[in-house]
Amino acid sequence: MARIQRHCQQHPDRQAIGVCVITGESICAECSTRYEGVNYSKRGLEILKARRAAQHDGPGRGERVGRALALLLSPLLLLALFVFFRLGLTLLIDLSQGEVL
Amino acid sequence: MSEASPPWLPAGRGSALEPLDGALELMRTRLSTLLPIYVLAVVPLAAGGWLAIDAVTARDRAALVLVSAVLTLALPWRWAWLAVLQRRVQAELRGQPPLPVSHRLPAILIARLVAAFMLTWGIPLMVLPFWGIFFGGFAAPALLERDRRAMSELVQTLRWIGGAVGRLMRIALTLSIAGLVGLLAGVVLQVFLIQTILPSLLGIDTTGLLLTMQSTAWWMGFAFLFFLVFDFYWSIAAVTVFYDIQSRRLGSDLRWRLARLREAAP
Repeated sequence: MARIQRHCQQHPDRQAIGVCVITGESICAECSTRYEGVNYSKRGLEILKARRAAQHDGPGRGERVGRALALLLSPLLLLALFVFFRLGLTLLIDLSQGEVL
Repeated sequence: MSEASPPWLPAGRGSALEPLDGALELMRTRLSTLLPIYVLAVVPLAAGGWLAIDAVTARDRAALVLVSAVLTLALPWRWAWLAVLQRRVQAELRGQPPLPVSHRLPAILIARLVAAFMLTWGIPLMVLPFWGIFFGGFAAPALLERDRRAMSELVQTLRWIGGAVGRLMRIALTLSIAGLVGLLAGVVLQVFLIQTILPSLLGIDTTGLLLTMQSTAWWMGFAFLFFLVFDFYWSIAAVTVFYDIQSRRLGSDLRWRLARLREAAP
């Protein structure tokens, strides 16, 4: 079976050593950047950077779930504190029943 | 916090109690700055405490609903102003101010609320109050330190607490013993003062005072005052302990910062 020789998209006179996983373009050694074990072209890296920046801009799923839980639980936690104070003060009154003053 | 420690002070060493000494030093040198913020923080709580003492001594069960509501609502006010106080302490230790409190206030309040729940209802399970006291104390310093997502920062804080349990247990034990000794010393001093010093040396008739000392109101007031003093100290110490724990993770040295503070102290 004959091998298909690919050439770099930016440098047609050079043989490609790989393919960018983002853009799919053939890249030579000079155009290739290996990042986290994967080959990227310059444009592919920029796209990757933009994608990761977009993920960090807004809250992730975990953050949104956490915020929703916090909003739902806050009134309940405040109520729990109220009940704790009520019970604690009632206990103090019960303990002081036998005192003269 | 990204200042590197000098090479002659390797990170990761030092007594677990050094942050507590550092906090005492901060209290001593920055009292005029920190105390007014703390007083502002506890005014509503003190009002609630006063109402509670009144209701308990009068055995007025009907008033307990109002008193409990006042105490509960006083807590968010207190937490917000304690965050301001802790931010001041952070600024002293960092050499520059951290994030503004308003930027992180909702997250700080929610973290404090969760910690308060662990501290109160977690009493039957000894483990939860331990987590509650440190998580509550570290919430503001952790959230004001870096502009990362609040949830991530809080989860990391919980991980740091989990990773430093031994060290924090020593701190908790020291504070508990110091607290008990302080409380006992306060009781003994009062009794000695009223039964011996005042009548013998100053010729003051303390019969009425002795009778008052036997009341619930007196001892509740004393306990509340002691709590306020301890709470003020712990609000400052929580920041120094937080930085101590962080330094063990990130390699910067708290002791260098504290040494710098002592050099700059009047």
